Amino acid sequence: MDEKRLLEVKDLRVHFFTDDGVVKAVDGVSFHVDKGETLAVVGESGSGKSVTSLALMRLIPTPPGRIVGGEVLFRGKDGQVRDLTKLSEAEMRRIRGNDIAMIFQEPMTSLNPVYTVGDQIAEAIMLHQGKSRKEAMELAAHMLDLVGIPEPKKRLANYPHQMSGGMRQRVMIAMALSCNPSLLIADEPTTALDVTIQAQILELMKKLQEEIGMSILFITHNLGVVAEMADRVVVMYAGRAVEQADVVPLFKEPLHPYTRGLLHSVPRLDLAAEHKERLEAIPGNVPNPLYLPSGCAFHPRCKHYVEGLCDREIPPLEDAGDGRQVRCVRWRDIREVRA
Amino acid sequence: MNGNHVLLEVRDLKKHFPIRGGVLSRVVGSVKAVDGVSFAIRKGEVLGLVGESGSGKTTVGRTLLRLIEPTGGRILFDGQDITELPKDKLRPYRRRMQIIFQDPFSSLNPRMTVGDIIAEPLIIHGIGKTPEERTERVAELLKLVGLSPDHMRRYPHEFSGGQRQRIGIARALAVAPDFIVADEPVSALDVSIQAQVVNLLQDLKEELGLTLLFIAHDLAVVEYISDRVAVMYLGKVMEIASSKELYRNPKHPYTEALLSAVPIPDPTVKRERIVLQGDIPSPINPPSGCVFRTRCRYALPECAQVVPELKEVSPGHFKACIRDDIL
Repeated sequence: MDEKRLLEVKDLRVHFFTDDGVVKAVDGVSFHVDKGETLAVVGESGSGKSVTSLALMRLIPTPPGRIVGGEVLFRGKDGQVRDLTKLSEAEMRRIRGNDIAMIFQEPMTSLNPVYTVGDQIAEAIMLHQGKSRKEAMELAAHMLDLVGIPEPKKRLANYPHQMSGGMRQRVMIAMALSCNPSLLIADEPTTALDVTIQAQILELMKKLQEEIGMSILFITHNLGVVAEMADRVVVMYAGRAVEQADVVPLFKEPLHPYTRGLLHSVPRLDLAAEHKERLEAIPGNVPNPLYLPSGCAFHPRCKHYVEGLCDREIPPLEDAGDGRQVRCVRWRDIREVRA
Repeated sequence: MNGNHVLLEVRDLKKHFPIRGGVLSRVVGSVKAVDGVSFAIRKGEVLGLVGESGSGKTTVGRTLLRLIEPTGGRILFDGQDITELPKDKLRPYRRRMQIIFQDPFSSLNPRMTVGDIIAEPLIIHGIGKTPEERTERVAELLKLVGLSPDHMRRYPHEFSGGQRQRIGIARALAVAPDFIVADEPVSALDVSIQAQVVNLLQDLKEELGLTLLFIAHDLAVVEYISDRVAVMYLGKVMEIASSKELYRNPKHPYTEALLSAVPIPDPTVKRERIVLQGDIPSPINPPSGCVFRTRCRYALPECAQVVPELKEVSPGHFKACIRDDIL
């Protein structure tokens, strides 16, 4: 693996074996994260973005789910590259929290309501760093201070319900960063928060990334948040990565019709006052994962669909130059027409 | 009817929820969810109501339909004061005022077919005498919201979120209302589906001449659909202006901060961001004077003294802030 590379996911497949059939939640997803960079994974519900992140941490509920193929290569703090899909549970436990930490959407349900926040942060520190309870508590207070919680020493004794949603997300971040992970997976970390609180949390994550130098895998459906946070972006649809690019070219010239549709369907506050065009909605619905359309899963909703071409085979992920990738057999034609 | 005809007006609307405590469950305090809100909506107009959680925007929507009884203030619908109308007298107004809810999953009865769900308001209000007439009307409504009449015999769980929201819209339109409260109608939907529903509401508004109160926390969506926008914070209206004016030229410090907090989906746009410190205070014990002063970067000692009046700063543009020297 390349020296600067921290994580490399190759052809990851996660399937769920349900009574109704096999749900291919993630079906051949590849991407990488370099040291210190932020990669955003964007998609709507059912795109497989959250399942991807859970698979990296080996947290897929089994049964019904299982990683059925692919590799997750990760460079540990010790410099060794391991395939996380092949590790034993005990080895994996050393990675979780220590090398890779995760924060979730709902800060209320991911904190334990019967322990104080101090105890919960200290737990991870004692486990991974072998520190005494007293030392761990001191470090916990330092972490709370780092994430901008006033009176951190006093707050250690608080229970999660005594804090607001924004405060709880700060606690989650403090907990996640307490062992200096090299990768932070943030799964919709601001979706449950108000915009002014979201702004606080995004600001905080950026600041901490600069100070600590960790990489972030940012999972979200919010394109505004992507534009603000990401260096590179992976767009997912129905379990597959359909486009991958640096953030500026992706927003400037999206190559996949789905990416383009997504960008055009959100009202833009900054352009709002100038002109009010009708929103370009993507017709139809997100497909049922049990019965994915044949060929390109997006073809029933795509205005560039060509019968016999798009609905036969799953399009390959093609190299589109400048480190871009796109999964659409017609991307060249579409680009020419637009130019 | 001319364009200035006011369809709905609220004056000094208040809703305080009692907090009970102790063995006797005595009232020990109150949550001032809505605390003196006034605005008017003209016929055919869309008024957007934005605010963060706890601002009282949902309570305003429910109180003005009298789904929750107000603690104080007046509600006028088409010139008639409906604040204290008894139930039987209120019913004709209920037909003219409908609501669309946020969650398309919990707002439709899972045991009823889509046809029955949409026909229920028709039965309640005695519209369509025979089942055939009602079925015809339901089919018409389904087509209107972009579904197919065949969907009538299906159950809600067979539909996706966006389709369910269309069913909720069809139900609200069944009785041909003049006024609809849309309470976060698109926030539970995926981005690509959101645009479909926003476009549908816009089309329906134009086709049917609807008047809407559009409640949402997403400022971009509200801007997109609204003619005028009211910004709420902690139970009070901070600013009201035409949508264009409010977004281009916010006059209240809270609106300014709220707008700057919205991430723009364009990585090349760099803006100065005002990050508000702290959280929204508790509505049980709101700050004295201006409720926003504890997070305001322009706050002066005087801001704690008096509750600022909503005053007109330019034609049609109102703000509740004593500082005229800023923004």
